[in-house]
Amino acid sequence: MDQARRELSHLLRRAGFGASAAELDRAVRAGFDATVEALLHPETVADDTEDRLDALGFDLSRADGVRQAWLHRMLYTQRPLQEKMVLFWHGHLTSSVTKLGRRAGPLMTKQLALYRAQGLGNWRDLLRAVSRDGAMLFYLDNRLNRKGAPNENYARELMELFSLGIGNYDEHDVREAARAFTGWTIDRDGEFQVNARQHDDGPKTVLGRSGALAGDDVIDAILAQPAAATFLARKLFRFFAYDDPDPAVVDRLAGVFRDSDYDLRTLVGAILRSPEFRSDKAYHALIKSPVEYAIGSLKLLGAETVPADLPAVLRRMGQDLLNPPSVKGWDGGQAWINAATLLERSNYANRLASARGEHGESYLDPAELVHRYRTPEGVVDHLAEVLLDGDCPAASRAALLDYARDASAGVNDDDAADRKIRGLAHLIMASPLYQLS
Amino acid sequence: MPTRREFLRQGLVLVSVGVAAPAFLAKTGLATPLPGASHSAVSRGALVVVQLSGGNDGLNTVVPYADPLYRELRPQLGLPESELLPLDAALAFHPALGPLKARFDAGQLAVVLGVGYPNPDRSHFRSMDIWQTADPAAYAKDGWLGRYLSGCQCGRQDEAAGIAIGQALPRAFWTENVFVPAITNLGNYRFQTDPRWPDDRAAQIQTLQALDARHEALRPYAEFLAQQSLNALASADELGRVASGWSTPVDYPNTPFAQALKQVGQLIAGDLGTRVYYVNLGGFDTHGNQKNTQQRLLEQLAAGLDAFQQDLEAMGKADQVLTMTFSEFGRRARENGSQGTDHGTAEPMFLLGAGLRGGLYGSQPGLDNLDAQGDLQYQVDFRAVYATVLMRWLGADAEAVLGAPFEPLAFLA
Repeated sequence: MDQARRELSHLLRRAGFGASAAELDRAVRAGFDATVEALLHPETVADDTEDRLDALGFDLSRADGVRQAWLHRMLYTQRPLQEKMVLFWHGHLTSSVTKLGRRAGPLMTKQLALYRAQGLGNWRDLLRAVSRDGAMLFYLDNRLNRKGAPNENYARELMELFSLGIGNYDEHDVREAARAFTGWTIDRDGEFQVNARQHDDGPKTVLGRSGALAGDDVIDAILAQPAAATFLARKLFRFFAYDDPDPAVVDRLAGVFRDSDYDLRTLVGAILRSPEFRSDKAYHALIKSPVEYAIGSLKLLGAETVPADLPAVLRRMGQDLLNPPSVKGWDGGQAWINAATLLERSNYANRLASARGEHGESYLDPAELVHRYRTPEGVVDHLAEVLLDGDCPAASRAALLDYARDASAGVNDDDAADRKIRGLAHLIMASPLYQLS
Repeated sequence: MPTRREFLRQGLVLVSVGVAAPAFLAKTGLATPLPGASHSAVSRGALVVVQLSGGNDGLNTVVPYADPLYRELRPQLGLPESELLPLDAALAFHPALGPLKARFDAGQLAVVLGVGYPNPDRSHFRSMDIWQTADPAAYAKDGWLGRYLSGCQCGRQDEAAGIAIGQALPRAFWTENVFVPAITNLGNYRFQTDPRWPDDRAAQIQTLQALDARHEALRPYAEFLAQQSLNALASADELGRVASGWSTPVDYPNTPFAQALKQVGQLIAGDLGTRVYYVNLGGFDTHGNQKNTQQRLLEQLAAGLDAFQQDLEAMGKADQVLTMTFSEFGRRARENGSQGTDHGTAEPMFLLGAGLRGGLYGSQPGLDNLDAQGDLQYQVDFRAVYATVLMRWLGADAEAVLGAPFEPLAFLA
């Protein structure tokens, strides 16, 4: 695959959920810069996803309906970066259905919609909005945070996990910040309200700022810390580019972020346009999350629908959407991979490769591939091109060819093609390289 | 397909770059009977670690019911004395722990009181890392169980020396050179191929092994992925064999925690030689409405552990397995305004098995002796509990694993 095409394939994997062949062709024609621009400005791109979801009619009152709808959104969206940011925020500003009871569906829908609308907006605004979000108020117990006996859960995780990181605040800051968020709760309809009687409006000091502080003042105090920009810049860089950025790179991006008054679009744009993101070091340097693996595979195979049991499959792969293992979200990287989750990935790939349309879609047409590519070399190279950007080392290619050529005696050509081509697709998608983003 | 045992018996070590998969892998392995467990003579049996995630409120688990400060600090959360299960004149179990009280009375449960570490950290993640790496001071990468498995002579290297039940491998097992699978369900733990061409399966497995063995380390994670893939293929059949044809007389409760312990029972019965198992029960982060949540969780804990111990008794292995519970911290002495408690410090640990000396160990931190933040002061360093288990159960060099000497407790002879 030529370098320009490979770079766009990389961009669409990282800034979205991968691309079908047709989407990649369009991106190549537009070029890298124009594609990044469109990604960063989803509001300028026409998108019929809402209509398609309405037509499918998911039951958003239930958590599983919300999961299904979201997975279809990832497959259909013409605004992939916007949706990738929803996934990022879901894993960063975490909440989980398990604490939300019968309101789980509506509350998580609302939270995901917040991340969709403001995920590339201003960080200060997003922090203020998420502090008022129903699912978050439930999940980190702030709806129970009352004057006189504060509940520290939200204040702690806000600083430790969401915005500053360990070492940039102390226990005193946590306790005082908890006081500042007292009374921030939900009314009977799940809407945010400040219960004045429960709000502690006395003097407080958080991160060196004193006064009758309330929640928004705490957020201002957090963003006045240099560490705040560094913390989020590093996390977003590691999400998009690679795991171990040079501190100088992080500082540069943190500076850009701070100078833009915490504009997320500017920060993400700086990452995607950076030489680091476009470098060889970044290429195939991250491990696909289960969602990226599953949806990405569907896109590469030209799927039109999402299998109904995909939420359960993802759970077995280690990513139960709407239910992260803890408030830290998912660790990602190597943590996605162990013997059991690799077997799940391989078995899912086998399912896609073996699907012949009896229970849903068929994704491969072996007869057509043989007709077009003729030889085992042609077929192997085509599949490697589609699935791996052609990034298939010689020894691996040789192993795949050995497999492809080995047709047992007595099997006719059509059967051999069906068996071996489906097998090749399975093997490539189960192989180490395919796990890389 | 050949098992990992057969692999290693042939003295082959799988290397990475550029080496073609050896020819013998092409033969489809036939099912061979598993050799018997190969514990080293020194270990008394397997260890099952039960992690209570979220920070279990120790004060309402082992309750200092005779101390008037208990009710002063917890006007709403204080448990009614009439419901408690007394262990002695000062301490009692939470009412949900009935099955464990019976084990305590039978001398099979040890309770270590006041366990913690210096300069306690109240972050879930930092404190859990500390417990799992046994390193409160620095940010060690590898886990204490990983270090143990790495150093012990437990059966053959690379066998599933440890098994975690769950989706993620706990940091406690992290180490470079020992394979520990994380399994959610033994039944799913199988490499599947196209059902229309069953004869193709062997060729696919061989090809994937070749792709794994021949990967070129061009990308940072390629080596790691290849090794995990080879491990997955080798262990899938071995562990899958354990899954078939097994049954237990015990009716385990239908909770995820009890079912996880049931899988551990199944694996122990399969005699794989696995030294350490790890199981998780989550939800203990009771900042609000603690009463019902903790009650439910402690019921699950007690019922699950009891069913598991019954299963071991049925197998004749009740004294060959030691189960240990811990949580990343206890909770604050004083309740908060939401009928809950916030992150705290010291907590009790449970040890269960027929091979230990039951009773109370350590000492209960005084409610009149809280630290500057209103938290319990720890009395026993958790590494002393680990050291006891390492030395006297697993037969290991505790100081080498923990990096420092710790005086063992008396719950193991």
